[in-house]
Amino acid sequence: MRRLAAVLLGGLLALAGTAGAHAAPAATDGHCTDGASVTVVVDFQELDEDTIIRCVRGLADGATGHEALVAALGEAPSGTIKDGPGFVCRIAGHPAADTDLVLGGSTYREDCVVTPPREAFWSYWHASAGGDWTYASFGIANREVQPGGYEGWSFSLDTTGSGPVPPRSLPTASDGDTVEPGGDGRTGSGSEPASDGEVPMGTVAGVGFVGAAALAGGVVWWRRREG
Amino acid sequence: MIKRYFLPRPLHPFAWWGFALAIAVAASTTTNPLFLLGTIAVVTLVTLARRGDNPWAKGYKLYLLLGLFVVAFRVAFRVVFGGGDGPTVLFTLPEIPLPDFVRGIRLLGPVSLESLLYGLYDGLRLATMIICVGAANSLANPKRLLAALPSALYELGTILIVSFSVFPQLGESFLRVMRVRKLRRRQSTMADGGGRKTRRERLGVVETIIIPVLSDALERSIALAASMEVRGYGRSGVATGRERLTSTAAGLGGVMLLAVWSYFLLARPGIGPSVLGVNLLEAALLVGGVAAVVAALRMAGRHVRRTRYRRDRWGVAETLTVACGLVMALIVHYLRVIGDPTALNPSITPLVWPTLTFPLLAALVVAALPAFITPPPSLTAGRPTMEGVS
Repeated sequence: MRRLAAVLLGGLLALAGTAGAHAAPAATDGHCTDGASVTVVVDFQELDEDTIIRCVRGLADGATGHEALVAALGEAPSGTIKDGPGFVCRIAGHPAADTDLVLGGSTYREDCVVTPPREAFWSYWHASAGGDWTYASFGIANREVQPGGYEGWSFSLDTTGSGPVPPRSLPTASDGDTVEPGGDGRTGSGSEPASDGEVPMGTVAGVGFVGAAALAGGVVWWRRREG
Repeated sequence: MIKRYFLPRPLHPFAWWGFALAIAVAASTTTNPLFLLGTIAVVTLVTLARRGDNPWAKGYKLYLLLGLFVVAFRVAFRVVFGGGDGPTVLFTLPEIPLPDFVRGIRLLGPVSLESLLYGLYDGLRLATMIICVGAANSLANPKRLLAALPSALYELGTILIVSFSVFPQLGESFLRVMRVRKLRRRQSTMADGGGRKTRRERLGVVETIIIPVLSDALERSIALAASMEVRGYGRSGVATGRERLTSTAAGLGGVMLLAVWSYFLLARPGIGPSVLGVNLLEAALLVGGVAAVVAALRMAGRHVRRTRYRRDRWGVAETLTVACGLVMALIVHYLRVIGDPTALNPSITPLVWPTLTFPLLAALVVAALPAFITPPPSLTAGRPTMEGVS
């Protein structure tokens, strides 16, 4: 058990260094004006955050909605543990793990373990420039973005009766002056992104505890075998 | 006093099950790999220190292997079905092309670190729950568990005990028949020396194995039934029709309440007001259902007269063991609903180091306590035991 933990940790250490090493497409605030780039709109709705509108340039041919969103945010959105990174449950740290969402009179916290409920999830939309928002019928990892088009994300809170609402910002460049471009969007609470090689105290303490408990188990096993 | 407390004796089986199930509940709501690995280590420590030396106690290794298999399976699943949904691509496998109408599925292709970690975290969670059940199974002797069932489930217990003992008996009688058949066959081949097989010879397996084994089983069950009847097992209770109706109604009502409760538990989010993170409607359903079932069992059990041989007693050690498990479950529940839940479910995308915060560390230390504060098990190696004292 101790060796397993050590191998696991060693692997993580080695791989954390390589994260984000390769060149990513560039993103700038505001709508795209050329026909080759993709505009990503993230509307937080009731979560009370500034809407993010970013233009992503330099996406490869056949890039997926997931890649466009990662490029626009500068980080990957959180997926649920059950469904994998392709099922988005938290964008730019929202809804945070300690945010109490009120659904149907009771509180709910998004822990990103199982699929989010119908009452509180991120809905995925797409549109051509100047067109209407369309609810996506494919997952983000399986839908190719349209060059010059729009990728929309809208948080859907307690809309079981009417269905999810599209982003409030229209998919046209002329709409840009009505919505303030968001900040850098990375306002996740509590958690800090993994930095190269720097291991937090809690991780060290945890590995130490697992090691100590495994060692104690080994000693007990040995003594009972001898005795 | 303390010496008497630590005299070797097996703990009440319900205590171990309560302890292990509380820890499994705590593990089921977290995905922190350090916390889950710590839970497995702690449960293993308690099991190694306090399991007996009956055949069931040796089964713990199998549950550890099953846990390992679950983790490996989850990770392999992520590789096969689209493991590339993360920013850190580790390696790329040749993708298997699929027709357009199954566009939601991708086979193989790029594999990312994040995707593997999603599989690892999820697999660890399930593996921890399986290992907790395995620990309970090897800490508590299943035979003692059946003996400790409430009186109302007495018939069920009898059925289970009889069926448990049937399988070893069937194996034994099969081996005996095979030995006899081997001896006979040598004799018969010497007699006719080959030639065309008749229908009877072709169906020899039925005649020489299946029928003897079945008739053996039938004889044994008739003998068992006779001996049980002599000892008063087949006696029906003294309950009147009305009493039986009341206890059945209470039992059915309780099970129905519990079924509705489990629906609310699984269908998030709950309905109605909640106090301190506990939904009132759910709590009322759970308490009402358990109360009705307990009342039904008591009512039905009052009319079953039976005595118990060497009854397992519930002492301080049992209460402490269950309390240790419950404390861990409560700490995790509190963190999830009211406190700071970030350490319980560390984010993978963006990748953060999983950490053990102080409350989680404290929960693990409390869960490890039964390895030290309970009396050791009485082994058959021949040391003084409580069984001899009482």
